[in-house]
Amino acid sequence: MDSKSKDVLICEDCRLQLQDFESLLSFIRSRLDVIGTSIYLLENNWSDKTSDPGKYFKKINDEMELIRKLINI
Amino acid sequence: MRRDEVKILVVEDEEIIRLMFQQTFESWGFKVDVAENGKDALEMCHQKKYQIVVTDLNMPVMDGMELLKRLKSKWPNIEVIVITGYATIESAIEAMKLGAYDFILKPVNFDHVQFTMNKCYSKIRAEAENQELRQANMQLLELNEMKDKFLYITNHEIRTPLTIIKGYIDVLKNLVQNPNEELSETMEILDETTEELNELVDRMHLLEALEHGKIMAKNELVDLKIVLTKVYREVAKLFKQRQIELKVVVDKKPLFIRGDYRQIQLVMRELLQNALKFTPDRGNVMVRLELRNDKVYYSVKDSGIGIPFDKQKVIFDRFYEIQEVVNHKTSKDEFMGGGLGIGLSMVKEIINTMNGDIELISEPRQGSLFKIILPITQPQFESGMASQDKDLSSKAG
Repeated sequence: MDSKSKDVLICEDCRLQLQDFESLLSFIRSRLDVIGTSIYLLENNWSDKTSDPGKYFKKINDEMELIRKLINI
Repeated sequence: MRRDEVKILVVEDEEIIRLMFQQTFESWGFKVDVAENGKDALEMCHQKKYQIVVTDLNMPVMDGMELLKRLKSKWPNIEVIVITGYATIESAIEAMKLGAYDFILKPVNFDHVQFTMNKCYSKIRAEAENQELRQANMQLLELNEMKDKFLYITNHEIRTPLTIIKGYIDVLKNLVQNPNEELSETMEILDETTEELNELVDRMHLLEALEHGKIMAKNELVDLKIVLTKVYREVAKLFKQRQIELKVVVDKKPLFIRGDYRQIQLVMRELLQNALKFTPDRGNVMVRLELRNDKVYYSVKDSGIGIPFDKQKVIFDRFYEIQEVVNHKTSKDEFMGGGLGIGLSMVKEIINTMNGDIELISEPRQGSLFKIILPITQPQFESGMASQDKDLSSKAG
């Protein structure tokens, strides 16, 4: 029956697109990890003793945590 | 559900009749098992999933009526057809009251049996298809929900924290006096990565807006030569880094169109970026901008990996990327570099809103040619029109 093959096709499309959204989320997660690691490295290698960047690192980490919570879908 | 996917259990104490039913049903394309009495049949139903049970009513050990009751209480979806030799309408009525699908009278008329079996098969197939539809519907709902949530998050929620992060990164950059090599490199990675995330948010927003006709595209007079020059300056360095020869041929005639400058710039850049991504180092890319039959042709031809024929129809679909995941590089400037497969779908949406066309000619392992065709505008006939430029709601999709 023609309608049957069409239905199956719809399902396959759905699966494909759900995976696509997963890959988008995974893209965002991986970039957040890169930012997180970079901030960690920056904090540990901060050479300028005259400035106090601590509060900025904290604010960046707070915002990243917020994004992580948002994309936890 | 195909006929050979329907499993029938024939329950009949008389061997010759049992065999006759089995062979007949098999000749009609069904899968058939047999049992001698109700007790054996119940055990077999525990082992295997049957769609139809055809049972005699009068049998030793456990009769057909008892079997029918037990089957219906445990597996209500099994269709039970009873065979009665009594030729009494009472037993058939009782069986139907207990949930039997139909009854067959002995002596058996196989035309009638075939009619009954076909009717039963149609019912089972319709139910299976309904089930598939329900599942497909559930998946669509799930997808829609996820999509809405994702778009809401990318378009509204992530934008603000990303801007804040970028702001603090800029503050940190300003705080560092004479950064060492390591710090500079880390800062650069931070810049690139936040930029990538910002770009994703912008693209998702633009794509969604274009698709739903929500965006107000400008209708301005655009000199394509100026746009191409700007785009060329942006990307030329990247081609040079990869030793890819980038040739640009531009028509001497004026090439003006009406549209949104930023969107046209995005289209031109996207096709060049695409060629860069899918052309190996030391390859070549040819860009042409020319006038033919009152239309402007912007074409980008590369000597890249090409697109398999079966994939060429879906290349403009959202999220579609031609390379295998294993080859996917993290940098979008590298060969088969990073991307989310939304660039070409965005190009197509933009070109649609401008009443243009996009064509693709590609040969696997030979390269691809993307061609954008847009209606030309003669600026001399538009004197005074520039001041009348107005926003047009795009009609994508």
